This record gives sequence, C-alpha cells and structure tokens, in this order.
Amino acid sequence: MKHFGICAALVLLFAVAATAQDGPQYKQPEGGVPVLTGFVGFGTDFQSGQQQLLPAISPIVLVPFGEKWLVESELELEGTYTHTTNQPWDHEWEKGVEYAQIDYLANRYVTVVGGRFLSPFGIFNERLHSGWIRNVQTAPYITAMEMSDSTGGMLRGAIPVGGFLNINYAGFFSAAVNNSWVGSTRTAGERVGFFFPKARLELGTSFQRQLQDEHVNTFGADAIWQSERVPLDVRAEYARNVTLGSGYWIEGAYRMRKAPFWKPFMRKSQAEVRFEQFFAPSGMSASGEMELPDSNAKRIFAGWSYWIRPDVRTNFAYGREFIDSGDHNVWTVGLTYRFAFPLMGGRK
Amino acid sequence: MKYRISVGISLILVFVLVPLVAAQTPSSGSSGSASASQGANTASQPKTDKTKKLHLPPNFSADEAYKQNCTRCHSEVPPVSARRTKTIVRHMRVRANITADEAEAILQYLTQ
Repeated sequence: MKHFGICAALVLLFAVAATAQDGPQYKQPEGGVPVLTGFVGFGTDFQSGQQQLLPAISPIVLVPFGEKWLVESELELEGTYTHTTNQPWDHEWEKGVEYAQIDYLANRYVTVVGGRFLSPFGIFNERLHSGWIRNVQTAPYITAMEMSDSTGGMLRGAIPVGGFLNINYAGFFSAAVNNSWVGSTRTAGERVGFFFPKARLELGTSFQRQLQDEHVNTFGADAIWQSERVPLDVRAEYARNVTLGSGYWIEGAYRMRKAPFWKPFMRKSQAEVRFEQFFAPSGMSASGEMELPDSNAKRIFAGWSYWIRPDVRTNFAYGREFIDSGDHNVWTVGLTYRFAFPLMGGRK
Repeated sequence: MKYRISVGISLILVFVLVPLVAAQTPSSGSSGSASASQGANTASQPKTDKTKKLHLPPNFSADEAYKQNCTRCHSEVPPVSARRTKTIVRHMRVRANITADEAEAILQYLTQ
C-alpha cells in the first residue's frame, strides 16, 4: 500500500511523458533580430509622346527591443527619368523618410506609436504602397489626396469580438513640419476597420481633418474581400475631399495556380484588373502639388505578375486613361526584388 | 510514518513534475489526431510561453490566421529565418492591426 502512491505517480508521469511524444511540438524562436528589409525596383511607364524610367529603392530597418518595443524606419528613393518627344532626357530623384517610428505594444489591444508614420487613411497608403506589394505599379488617383505621412502620435490596435469579428482601429494627431525629408501637415484623423474572418471581408472607414490653413475634411471607405473558393482578391477604396475632389478604385487579382495548362508558369502568375475614376471639384483645379488630374478622369488597367522567385516579381500592365486633355494608353513594366537581411545574428 | 512520507513524495511528484511535463505537451484539444497530423491547430497548440495563452476561436488554425491576414495584401511571402520572421511579424502586427493572438499564430505557422 505504501508504494501505491509512488507507483501511481510514476505511471501518471510516464503517461504524460508518452503523450508528449504524440502531439505537435512547437518551439518559439528566440528573440527577434534587427532586420534590414525593403525592396529594389525598376519600372517603366510608356505613354504616347512620353517615356519614363522609374528606378526605386526602399530600405526598411526594423529593430526590436524586448518583447514590447519596435523601432522601424523606411527611407524611400525614387528616380524619374523622363523623355518627351523631341526633348532631351530629364531626370529627378525624390527622397524622403516614409516613416521613422517607435512602437510600444502596450497590451493585447493597444499599440502606441510615436514619430513619423504613414497616415492611417484607407488601405493603399499603409498596406499596399510598397512596390513589391501593389499589383499595378501606377498608384491610384485618389492616393494623392490622402496625406501620406504624419509626424506625431498614434494609438492603434485590434480587438476581437467573439469569433466572427475583429475591429481594428488607428487614431492619430500630426504636427506641422516643414522639412524636405520629413514634411507633414497639422492634421488629426482615424481609421476603423471591421474584419469578418469567416467571410474574409474587411470594411473600413477613414476620416482626417486638416488643422492648418484651410480646415478641410477628407472622408474615405475601403473594402478587401478574398474568396475562399477561388484564389481571387478584390480591393476597393473611395475618398472624398471638398476642395480636392473625390474618386475610387477597385481592383481584382486572380492567382492562376489552378489553371489546368502551362502549370509551371501559371502557378507563379497572377492576373490583375483595376478600374478607377476621379471627379474633379467643380469650378476649381484640383491639381498643383497634389498630382491629381485637372479634370474628371478614369483609367483602366489589365496586368500580369509573375514571380521568378518568391522574392522577385515581374509585372506588366496595359492601361488606358480617359481624360479631357486626350485619351491615351499607358504601358508599365516592372521588376521588384524584396530583401530581408539580418543586421546581427538570426541567420537561422 | 513511512506511508505518509511516500504519499507526500508521490503528491510532490504529481503536482510538480506533471505540470512541468504538461507545459511541454500539447493540451488535449478537441481536434485530436487531426491536430497532431496538421501540427498547426492553435486550439491544441502547446503553450509556447508559460505566460502566454492564445485566445483564438475553436477550430481556428495557424494556417487560417495566415490565410486570413497575410494574404489579404501579400500574394507571396518569401521565407526567411525564424528570428527574422519574429521581427517582421511584430512589424506586421502594428502595420496591419493584427490581433495579438493572430500574430502569435502566424509566427507559429511561419516558423514551425
């Protein structure tokens, strides 16, 4: 009897140990390492009477500290070499700090961000602007009216509601900064997204108010939907500003991995279509520094992407722009390489 | 007296050693053998950290977390080492407003 307890304990111990060998084992990696990531890209843009070569490099540095901190920064260098009929080549390089921010993961639902960051308006600016992510190299019209960078503070995060909904949010305040590398406007704004995991649908709304010079509001709405049955992604975004105009874009991307022919080629390919429209405000010009069309315009693209490797993407797109100054074709060809090197350790 | 000592040692073995082993063991979730073969069901995943517990819906897998979140924007995700992945997943948790548990599940999916 006196050995019964010991025997029972040993049997239980061995039983648990034996069970441990049956199930999946997951070993969490050691702490994250500083990473240099980003992309190098080269694009071309051909329109009637004008040809452009567009080299770009965007290095991103990510430095984690402990379990709750992350310092991240992206530098962007974009060249534009333009040739217009009967004119010599002209070129310029745009350089700037896309973001240089400190993130503090305060708890499961809140992250505090300080520094310079991408303005959380819509989906293109924060999530899709990188050359190696976007499906069509030409940015949509309306992204020019969504202030791309802010300097200040931001609260953001995500809150799961049951198993059927994740609410994600971001609210920010930006100070006015007049600097060629890190300029920004005094602005406050927010974005709230409702993501339904089962339906793979996200609906978002955005708002920002400029708080210097003329106080104007910009409203936005966006949606992303992924089909569970077929490899199809649909994204759309709408923005409206009283003084700059309004517009929308809608884009579909279909991975060809299920195509029954040319499988080695097709499984690495994606077909893309984008349609967009811009409505200029009546009685005033919307352009200027904002790179918006002077008049109502619409544009359609059909493109194809092919991944030579998971980190090397080529794409080609044909588009046609319908605008008062004259309808014309737009051809773009691009190549992007996405890299991610450890800055110290972390090769395994 | 010896009986009491043996029972005491037995209880210590049960209450100290068993939890230690269990901490390294996947909990017996509802998925059963399916989770063992898939190796990705976070409902039946081991606690990767003694202080962390994932709060994911039942039958929600790390694979689902990856598909529902990452592929919303990324058509391809080039593989990199585990420690680089951990840094990049933290970056994406902030950038894409992914919940803490989904980020943990995605890290599991990408590094297992």
